Amino acid sequence: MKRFIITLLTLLILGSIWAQTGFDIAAFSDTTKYGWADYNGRMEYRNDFLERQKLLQLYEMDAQTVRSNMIKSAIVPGWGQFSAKQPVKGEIFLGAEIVTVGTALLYYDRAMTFFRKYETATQVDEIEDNYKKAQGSYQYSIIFAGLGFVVWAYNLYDVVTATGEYNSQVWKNIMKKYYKSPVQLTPDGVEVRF
Amino acid sequence: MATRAFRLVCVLILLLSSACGIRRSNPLDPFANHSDDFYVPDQVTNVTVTTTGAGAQYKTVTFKWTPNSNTTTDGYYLYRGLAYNSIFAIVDTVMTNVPAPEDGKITCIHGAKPWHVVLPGDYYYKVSAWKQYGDRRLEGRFTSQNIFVRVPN
Repeated sequence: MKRFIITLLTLLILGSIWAQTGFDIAAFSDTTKYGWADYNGRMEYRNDFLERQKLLQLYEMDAQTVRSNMIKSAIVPGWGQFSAKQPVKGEIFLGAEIVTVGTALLYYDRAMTFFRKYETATQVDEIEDNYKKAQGSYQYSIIFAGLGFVVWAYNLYDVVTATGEYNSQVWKNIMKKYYKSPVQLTPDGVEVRF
Repeated sequence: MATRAFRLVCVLILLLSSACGIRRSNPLDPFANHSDDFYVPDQVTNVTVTTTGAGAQYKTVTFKWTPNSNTTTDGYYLYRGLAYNSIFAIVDTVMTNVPAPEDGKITCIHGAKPWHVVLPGDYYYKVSAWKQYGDRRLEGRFTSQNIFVRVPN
């Protein structure tokens, strides 16, 4: 039993000595690999990191999620773009949607008017004439409804990029403000830099 | 690549949607009713017209035409309008397709019934045949040209 314990201890000591010789302590303690030349550099990096974390909190307060903007744009086309501060795009999408859906409804109403006439018509020419008019208007209404769908789908596709652009702009603005102004508004309060 | 696929989807949606159509649901529609005992009345042909002479107390306009086949026709409508392209209204209905024995023609005298009003002047007439289907009548094509009639004073 004693022999076993002595062997185990010897192995442990030898192992730790071997590990110490194998471990590159110089490489481990080389701070230049992080871009820190000295202690001041490390502190500078640390401070910069902490400041960036604060900025990130500010960014998260202003940034928008793609999901919420997509829901907005799905309900009212262009709403997401308005939220993402792209009002021209929003107006275009909203206008295009109103025009296409409005035209589709107009043609559909027209088609139904002719269809009712067709259903009550008894004269062959009248039957055919009303059917052709109803059919023509109905096809136009379907085409415009399809266009409306395309506009709606493209509006959803666009809101993703618009939100991305908005968020990157938010970050740029925060960075610009932060590096320009000596007085900072942070989540913790007001900070004055000298 | 994504933009091209999006455009392709848009074109497909538009093509598919434009292929949709309205169902022909009118039972009198010749394109919808394919039953064997469904016939569209023929166009009325060989219409001749005579009017009462000048000075007649009761004005009448007499129309005669060749009867259609009994298979396609049960009766006729007589329309009148004030101009060639004006609105025409039914002024008389012939409830039979049996021709007069003396000339083998269908005769319709506008002005012969008490409710007819035929005043001197210029009119346009047209005739169509009809066939009874249940409680509705399918009306065929009008005469190829509207018939000008001058009723003398």
